Amino acid sequence: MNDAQIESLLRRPPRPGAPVGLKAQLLADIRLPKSAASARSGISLSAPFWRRWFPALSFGALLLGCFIMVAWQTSQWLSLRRENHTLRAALPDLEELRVEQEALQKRAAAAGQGTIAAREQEELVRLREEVAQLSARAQEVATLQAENKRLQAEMAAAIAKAGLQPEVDPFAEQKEKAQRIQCVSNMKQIGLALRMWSNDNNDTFPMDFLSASNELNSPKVLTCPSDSARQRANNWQEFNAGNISYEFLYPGGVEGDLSIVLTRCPIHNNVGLCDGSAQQLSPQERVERVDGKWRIALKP
Amino acid sequence: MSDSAEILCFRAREGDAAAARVLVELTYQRVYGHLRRLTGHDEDAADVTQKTFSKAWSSLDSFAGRSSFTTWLHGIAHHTYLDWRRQQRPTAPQSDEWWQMQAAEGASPSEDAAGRDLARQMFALVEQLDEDTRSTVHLHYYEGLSLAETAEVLGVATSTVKYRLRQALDFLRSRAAEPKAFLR
Repeated sequence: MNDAQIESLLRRPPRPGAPVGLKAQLLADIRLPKSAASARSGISLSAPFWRRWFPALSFGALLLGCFIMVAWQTSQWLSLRRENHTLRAALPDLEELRVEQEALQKRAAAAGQGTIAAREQEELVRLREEVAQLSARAQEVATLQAENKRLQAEMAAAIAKAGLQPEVDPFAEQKEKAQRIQCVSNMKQIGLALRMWSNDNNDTFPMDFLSASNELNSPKVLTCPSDSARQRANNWQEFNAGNISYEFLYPGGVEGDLSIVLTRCPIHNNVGLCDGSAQQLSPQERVERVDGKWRIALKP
Repeated sequence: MSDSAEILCFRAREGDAAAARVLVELTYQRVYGHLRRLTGHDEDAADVTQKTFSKAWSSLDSFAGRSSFTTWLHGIAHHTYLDWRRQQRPTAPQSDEWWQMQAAEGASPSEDAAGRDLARQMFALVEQLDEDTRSTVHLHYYEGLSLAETAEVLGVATSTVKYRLRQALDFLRSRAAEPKAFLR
């Protein structure tokens, strides 16, 4: 037998008939799942109306919301468009309004300036009144000073007539001592300045005080406080030879012998030496010239 | 029948009991015959047929329409049969008398006695095949399923079905050539 014959036989198998009663049994056993389609979709036909129609209703609500939004936006757009048209129509009047506004601003500025001028005028009047008051007071002060001088003169005459001693200033001695100390301080500053100058110039002192102006802090130190005949120079622009109270005894000298007197105060008899020191001479001491150089020596 | 069976199945899934009844009438004879040939006993075949339809009703949702309803139902029948076999002792081969009787009933008047005897002997040889090959022969030749449908019911590849059928034909051809083979 070949394969075709075998297959032909196999394709005609016996067909056993079902027993009686099997069909009825099978029909009776039919148990279909309850509302399978509804269960699959998750919504039963017996579900409430809103639950069954919820998807459609929600979509409809969304659509309605979108429509309302579009309508509202369209309304807004139309309103803005109308407003835009109105503004465009008013544009030709804009230039006129601008000119009018500038005129108003100028007017307001002019009014403001007028106010300022009136205020300044009031201030001027007030200042003039004050000046007048001050002038009156100055005249009064001058009168009082003249009267004071006259009274002092009368008092001095009365004292002289009565043969009494004139009144002595109790602080005069202290004042003189302070001025002497101030003089020594001045000479020490001068000595230091001259030494600084000589260090920069081959140990040679300058020919005058003015040459050491860069080393001196102020020209005030060149005037002795007790020298009533000279005035202090506050700065080098005002300085001149008339402001110098001290004598320069070793101009152009060579620094070496430290005992040589460099400067001297003719009022207090203070001396400054070449070593930069300054001292007050005692009544037994004096300055004398030996070989063209001034030195401290005892009085004979 | 195929298209109407699928439509009826979908209607039964929607809860249409009338459609389910029509499905039973259309398919129960074929399912029973298939199971009867496999099980070898009337009562067991009827029992497995009932279980097959019961499972079919409860798994209507799993029918997606990718295959025909017949193929889907045969798949259920096959698995139900396998479950039944695991619970029963191995099936004894069908007796020669049963196959002879069935062959005589199923033969056409034109067939002679020798042809009926040859068919009976061939069916008896099929029962000597191993379980997988025997099931493949039953589904493909006896039930008329295509190779793809047979493969889907058995849950194997089409190439496997072809291989099993080739094995079965080789076996049957070789045994048919032996005069004494039919006497076993």
